[in-house]
Amino acid sequence: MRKLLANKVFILILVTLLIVAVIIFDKIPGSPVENITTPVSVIIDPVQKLVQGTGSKISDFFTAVSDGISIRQENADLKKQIAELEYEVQQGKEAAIRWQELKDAFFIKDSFENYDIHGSSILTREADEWFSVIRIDVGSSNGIQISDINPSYAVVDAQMNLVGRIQSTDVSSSKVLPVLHEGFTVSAKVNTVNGAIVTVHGEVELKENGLCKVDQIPDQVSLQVGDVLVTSGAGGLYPAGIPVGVIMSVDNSSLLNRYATLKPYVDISSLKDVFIMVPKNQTAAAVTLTPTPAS
Amino acid sequence: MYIIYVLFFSTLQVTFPQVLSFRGQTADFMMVFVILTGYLFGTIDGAVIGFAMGFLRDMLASTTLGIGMLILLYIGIISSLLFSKKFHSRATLGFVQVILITFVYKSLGHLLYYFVPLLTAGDYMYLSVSTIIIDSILPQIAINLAISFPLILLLSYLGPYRRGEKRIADEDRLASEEVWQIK
Repeated sequence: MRKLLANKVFILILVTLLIVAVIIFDKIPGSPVENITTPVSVIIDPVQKLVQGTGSKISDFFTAVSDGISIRQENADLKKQIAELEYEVQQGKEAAIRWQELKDAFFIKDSFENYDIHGSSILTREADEWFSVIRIDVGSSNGIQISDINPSYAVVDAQMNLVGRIQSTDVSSSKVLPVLHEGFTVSAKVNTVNGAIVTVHGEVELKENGLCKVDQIPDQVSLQVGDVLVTSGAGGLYPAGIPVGVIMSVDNSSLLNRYATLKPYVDISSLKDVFIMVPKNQTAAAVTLTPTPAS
Repeated sequence: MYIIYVLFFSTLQVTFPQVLSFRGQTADFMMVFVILTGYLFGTIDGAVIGFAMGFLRDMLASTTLGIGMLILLYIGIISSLLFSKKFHSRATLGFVQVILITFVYKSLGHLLYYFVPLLTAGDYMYLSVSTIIIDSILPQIAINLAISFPLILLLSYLGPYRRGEKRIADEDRLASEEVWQIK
């Protein structure tokens, strides 16, 4: 037995089986495996915010320096003052854009009275094309709790466009499955009176071009390029009426397998803040509206 | 030292993916770090760092805990065994490891994403071979090669071991690899 334990191949097989067990148990709803990441996220989240903040400051510094160098060539003294003022203006512009985004969020509250809106900032983005879940800085400590009653929540941007859904939560962070992810699906309808109900889901083939696939199109319905799709509300997970995107192309070559491509309204790569829609009838702890600015 | 590098590169990769990308492919700091650690410092280092990086990869950007751990664990082990004896763990030849393993990783990933939905959903369309090669595999190899330059220097001169300390003699490496054989 001791000889076996000293054998590296045996240890490797043991570790592999352990990881496979973790993968299987992670897929079971309510599995305690989800709690493994909780203590680690307490360590990693401050580190991540530090890296993010440092990177932003470095980027701002070099932008200001390059502007100053090009201006100094024209007029040394005066242009140096202008460069310093442009740096402050740039800082102010970015703050103004962020303020405008947050201000727009109040319109979400008016449109969806039965939902509490939680603001949050994006912590991390995709690692590569197959590890593309994004993380935000609100979790169970902020009242975002996944349960059997509430298996997920809709996530929107400041313009009320669908970003994705909450896939899992941690103490201080949550994972969002974005609309382009191949595991994402939503029931949508054409934004007209008695609009047809279709299914929108992510597709690996289309993700590269920033598109989603629309299928399960009813036989009697004919989608057109330019049609706007909104969430249908079917299933109860997403409130009805959240803008999803616009139809870019329609393929009717196969009558049994008609599909269309959709360009989501949201541009995930430029997102900084998102908003989680929590039903007001949820029996969770009292929550506060805390739009958290990115560090 | 490993802890600092693991935390730093994992958060760097998922915090600034647009800045460190080429033709839509993000620089895979986590995987390149694991490859070079395994190649330069041996199987145990590669396995442990692969396991830790994989855990963070799953935690930060995956829907399932465990898949990244499994992948990077084996990448760390394979990079320590593949050609390491022939190359004598010379740092400059670590690029070959990065190219090979990146190619295999991307190819297997695309094959998996093609065949699994095909078996479950039947009629299924996927990217063309030319698109996969030109827009996915080659850019990923290029960007990973670009970041492996500074990472090799970092691990060689500011690594967890003093320069030369971890270089295992060929005889010792051969002896240690014999432990992997089941007799």
